[in-house]
Amino acid sequence: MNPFRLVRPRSLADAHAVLGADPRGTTIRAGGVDLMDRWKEGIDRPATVLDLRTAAAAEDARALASLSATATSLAVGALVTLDALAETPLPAAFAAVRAAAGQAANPAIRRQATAGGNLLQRPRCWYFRHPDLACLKKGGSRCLAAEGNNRYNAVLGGGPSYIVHPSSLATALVAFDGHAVVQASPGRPKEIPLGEFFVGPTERLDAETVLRPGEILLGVRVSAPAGARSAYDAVRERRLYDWPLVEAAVRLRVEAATLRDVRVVLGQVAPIPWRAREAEAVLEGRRPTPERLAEAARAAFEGARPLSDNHGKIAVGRGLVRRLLHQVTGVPLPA
Amino acid sequence: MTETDGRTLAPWRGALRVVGAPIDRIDGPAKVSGRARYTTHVTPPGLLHAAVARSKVAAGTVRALDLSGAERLPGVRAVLAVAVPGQKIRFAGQDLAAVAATTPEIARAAVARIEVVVEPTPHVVTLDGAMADGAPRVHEDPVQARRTEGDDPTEVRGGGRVTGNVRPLPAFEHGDPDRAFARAAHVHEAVYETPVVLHSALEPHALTVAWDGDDAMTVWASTQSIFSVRDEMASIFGLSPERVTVICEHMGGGFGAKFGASAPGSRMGFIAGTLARKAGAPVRLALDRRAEQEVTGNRPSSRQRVRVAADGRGRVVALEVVSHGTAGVGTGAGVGRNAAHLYEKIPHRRVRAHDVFTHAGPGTAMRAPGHPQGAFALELALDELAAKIGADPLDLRIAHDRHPVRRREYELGRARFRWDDRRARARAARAAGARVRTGAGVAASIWGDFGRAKAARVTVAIERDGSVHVRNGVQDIGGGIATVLAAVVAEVLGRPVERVHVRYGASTLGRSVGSGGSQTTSSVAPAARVAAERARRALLEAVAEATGTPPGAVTLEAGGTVRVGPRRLSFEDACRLLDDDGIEAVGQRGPTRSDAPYPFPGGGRPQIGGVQFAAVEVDTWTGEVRCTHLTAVHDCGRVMNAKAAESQVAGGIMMGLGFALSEQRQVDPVHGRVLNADLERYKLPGFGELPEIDVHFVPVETDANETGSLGIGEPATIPTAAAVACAVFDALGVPVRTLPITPDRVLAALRDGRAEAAP
Amino acid sequence: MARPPRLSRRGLLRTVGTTTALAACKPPKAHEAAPPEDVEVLGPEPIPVTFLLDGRRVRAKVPVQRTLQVCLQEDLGCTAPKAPCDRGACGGCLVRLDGVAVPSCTMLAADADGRCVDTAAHPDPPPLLAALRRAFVAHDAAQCGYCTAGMITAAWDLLDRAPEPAALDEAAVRRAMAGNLCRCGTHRAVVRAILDVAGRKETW
Ligand SMILES: Cc1cc2nc3c(=O)[nH]c(=O)nc-3n(C[C@H](O)[C@H](O)[C@H](O)COP(=O)(O)OP(=O)(O)OC[C@H]3O[C@@H](n4cnc5c(N)ncnc54)[C@H](O)[C@@H]3O)c2cc1C
Ligand code: FES
Ligand code: FES
Repeated sequence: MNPFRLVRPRSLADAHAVLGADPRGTTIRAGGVDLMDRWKEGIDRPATVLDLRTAAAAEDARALASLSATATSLAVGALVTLDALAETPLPAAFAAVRAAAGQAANPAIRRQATAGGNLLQRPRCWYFRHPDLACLKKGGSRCLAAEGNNRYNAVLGGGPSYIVHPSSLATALVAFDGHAVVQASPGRPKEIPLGEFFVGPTERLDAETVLRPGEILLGVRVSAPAGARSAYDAVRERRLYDWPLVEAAVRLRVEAATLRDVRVVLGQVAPIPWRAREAEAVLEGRRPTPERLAEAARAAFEGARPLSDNHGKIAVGRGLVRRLLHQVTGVPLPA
Repeated sequence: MTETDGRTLAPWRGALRVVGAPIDRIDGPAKVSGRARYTTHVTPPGLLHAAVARSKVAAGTVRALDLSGAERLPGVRAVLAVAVPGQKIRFAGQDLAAVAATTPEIARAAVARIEVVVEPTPHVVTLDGAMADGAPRVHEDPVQARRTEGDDPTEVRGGGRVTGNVRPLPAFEHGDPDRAFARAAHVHEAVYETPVVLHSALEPHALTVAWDGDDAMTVWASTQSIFSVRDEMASIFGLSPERVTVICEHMGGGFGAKFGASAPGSRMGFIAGTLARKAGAPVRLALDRRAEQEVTGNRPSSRQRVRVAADGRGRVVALEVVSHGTAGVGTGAGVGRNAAHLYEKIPHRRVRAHDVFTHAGPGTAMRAPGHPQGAFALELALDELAAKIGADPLDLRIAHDRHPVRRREYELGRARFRWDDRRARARAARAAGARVRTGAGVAASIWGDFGRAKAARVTVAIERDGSVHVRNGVQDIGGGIATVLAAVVAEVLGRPVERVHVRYGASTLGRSVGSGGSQTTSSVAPAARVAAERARRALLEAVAEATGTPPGAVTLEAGGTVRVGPRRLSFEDACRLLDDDGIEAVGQRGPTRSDAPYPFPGGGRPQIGGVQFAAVEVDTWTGEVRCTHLTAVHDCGRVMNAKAAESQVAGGIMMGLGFALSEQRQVDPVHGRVLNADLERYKLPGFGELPEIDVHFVPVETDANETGSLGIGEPATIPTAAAVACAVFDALGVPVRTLPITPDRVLAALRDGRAEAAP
Repeated sequence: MARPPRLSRRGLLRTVGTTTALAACKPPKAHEAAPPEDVEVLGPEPIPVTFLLDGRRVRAKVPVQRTLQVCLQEDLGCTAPKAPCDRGACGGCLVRLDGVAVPSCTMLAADADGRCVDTAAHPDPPPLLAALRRAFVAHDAAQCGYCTAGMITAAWDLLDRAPEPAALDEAAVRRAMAGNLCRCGTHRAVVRAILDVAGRKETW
């Protein structure tokens, strides 16, 4: 880990000024959990580190540090910790968000990690994280997972890199309509639909979102149709604290005994939070029978192309989605 | 000073006052207050920090080393080439060069500037790859089996002829298995696999060396064997062992990987000692987690082809295990003694194990070397056979086991665990095709008493102020030996435990054993008793002399009161009669005197049993497995400290659960690097894996040694994964034959099972 | 484009916690935007840090990239937080920063500047910490002891911040402790020790 300049802005304006001076050479730091790992592995060698948290108390940084909700909308400031997000009572519609935040990483990390940092963390793929191996995402010529040990890599939407998007929070948030609120310089922030915010390796190798150097993520705003419910769950190799093998979030509404506004999102299976549109189509406008839910779970992994070591994710993911659909629709789970 | 080997001591019988009670650890307060000092907390003045440049490739030849970049960095005080041009690289992470610098940050930065040219050669890191025709040879020359005190102490590793990368271990054969298989009514045959797993002590290997002139040094080491460190450092640097002082006040776990000055895959002692000499300052070499997981040893993998056969009357008649496993560049991929010796009533048995060399960090002893692997394959295969012939797995085991204590343990466990209920419930859920199933499994442990005579010299001193002191150079690795020493001495001298002061953890305190083979307690505690008995006798003699009483008329009562004829003196008052030197007595353990209650294979020492019952819950949709309940019934002779013994068992179970459910080293087949050399994707079991644990000890009075204590650390972890795997088989009706039993494997087994069941 | 910020002397500026609850969504105190010249810049040379460690003011000069864990161990001789994983994965390095248990290996020493750092090694332990220490000994919740300070810190944080400690059940304790790894397998004893203390508030 190399020495760097650590800058502590007192306001968002300060932060923009620092960033504006050298957008590429300045690393925005939130909780610093992901950054610290990358620095220690030597994957990144920061020159200037901008500590966003020191700006949080400023008037112009309100959006960064606040969490607010109504029955159908939720605004999460980028600096809100995962722990705060998990521990704050939220309307039922956003149960998936709370659950994802509350199950990510471990309790101590959640108290340090921020929502923004979680969404913007770099891939956890063990090739990407290895100090001595140069994978495609680090400027190497090939995705080392494709030909190597890819137990935890993508089964959907992969290529040319087979990372999975690491953010559990993203899996839950993408189950809602919403925007990432991004600011490039003082003034009006731009809103980027979440569906366009996360991008896969065919579009970008140096990042997993459309965020550009110098831009600050202020937060995320999502909404839910009135009466919507949501749930998030994951299958882990260790039960209470582990990177999920597969995770999923579901949002829907039950109207006159049929399912409406169904959204199914899979996490840890693709380079972006993965909308399982086939599953959504199976359910939309239909009655939630056990058979229908099982069919949707199967459809969720339609088109999956596993690599040498990760085909197991498909069956596990199907089981997870099936169980989650039962839970969120209220169709009793068989014993 | 007097010595005795205690040959004349009467064995302890029945319940004792202190020994065997639940006793608080004497090192507890230091540990819970965060004040306990571990190796990296020792900072002699001028301390430098070392870092090691390691090979990034798995195989190759060193062509050139350029250390100048490191040498020029301000703050660097010494640089050392560990590899030399021409040297072969056989695994990634192998030592290349090292530096010592004023801060850890500078040391790491300096290492990054060292340039080593390694000409890569083809490597092979998988079992299949290494056994394939034309595979790159890992070792060109004959291999010396590396033995440590952590290895199974009785195993003779002769080593057969190496063919390619395959080296046979000594085979075991009893009866005529081939004939028995040919005639058997039922034969089950399948392949069982266990991965390479990592010791993962939370404290990585660490060592600090301070030279004291040219011919003496002090070494602080995180070690399971202070005296191995001493002797190894003495031999590396040509010193007299007496001139090497080794200190290990507290250490953060070893599990078999911390037996010498060097880690199994890194010459730590040489590096730290040489850097310290070059720099003229003390040097600390503490490994980071990546190196710890990649090069400091591991439990070898196994791929076991098991055949087991029964006759028409439900008797198991033949058993054969042929195993291949990899200990990387090292040796020792055996599968323990389970198949050979656990079920002695199986008349025909054969075990053939092989080391398969790969270009990966060396394996080394890990908590009951070979046994957990062997137990897993053997017990699951037995259950598969039992299912075939319609036998109850528990009955089948009892019917083939001769060990009287273990047979009782099975019966005790049957009741405590409610075996029959649980099996019936599992059967019902299976029949109903339930989504969430439960299952029950049982497996056994086999281990021996490896306590050693005269290996430890324990000193007991009584001062005129009535204080009692125990000294021995043993390290307490968390097993609680220091507390056992206090308890034993307290018992003999009629003192409360907290009034006995124990000094341990330094080579200056008297020869002791390494903590391997579960021999610490049974080697050191008897010596303490002998010393304490000597001290007691000396005290009574001194009191007799001082009071002019005939020696026979002075006795020590249970509470520590000294009876002098009709008079009674408090212990303190009695001690005041001593002369200035007080009393100092040294004790050693005698040879093993008995193999009761049941001999270990080969005889001459007791066999330690133990059985564990596991209950699991399996979600057949997601493949998630949870061990909900674990009943452990064990024996270890006389329990010395009920609290610590129970902790050992609970700890063995947790380690076994990791082996069963989550742990596996992941290696990249192309680059030969460990991909999860961390504590994030190397998955130690945690609070979510903790089952309800019920520990029960069957008391066994053995006269094997002066305290009747046997080992427990290793037996406690042998059956866990096997019992869990058997329980999963019970839940699903199909076996998962590969560890760890991860969700994807459960679902694959169910799918394959359905496919097999389909017409 | 904005002017490049100039180096400034270290001010009284302090980091602020970012934890917010819905109830606490009041606007933060008005604050005049500071001109960029005043932006505080530390490093790349070694930097001074000052904080309250277990109630005592300490100072150290550290490389800017030094983690808090290394600073505590190497600069301040504090033996409680260890670095078993050094990556936020094990809980062995936990400290309470302004009363909240966080890993000290994932943060910079600079992050503690001006704040309160409390460790399991507190020389004058508050009654709760003392009770936990006693219970950990009584339940034999430390074997090798390497994870223990982290375990105790997590437990201290849990019980200290729980509105009603006695209401904590075993599941809640397990969840709260999930990030703390132990290789010796003290888990059962740890859970028992914590529940024991949680249920006897009168002892602390
Ligand atoms: C052991 C372990 C287990 C984990 N398990 C999980 C898990 O199960 N699920 C999961 O989702 N995560 C998991 N994580 C990851 C963890 O949640 C993230 O590292 C953390 O959320 C990152 O947040 P941070 O605030 O620390 O980000 P930082 O490290 O500060 O930043 C991360 C990235 O985002 C950028 N950034 C941060 N904030 C902004 C902003 N406002 N504007 C622009 N750029 C910004 C930074 O420049 C950096 O590139 C785990 C981590 C560990 C160590
Ligand atoms: S050392 Fe910090 S969490 Fe493991
Ligand atoms: S007590 Fe040894 S790691 Fe927990």
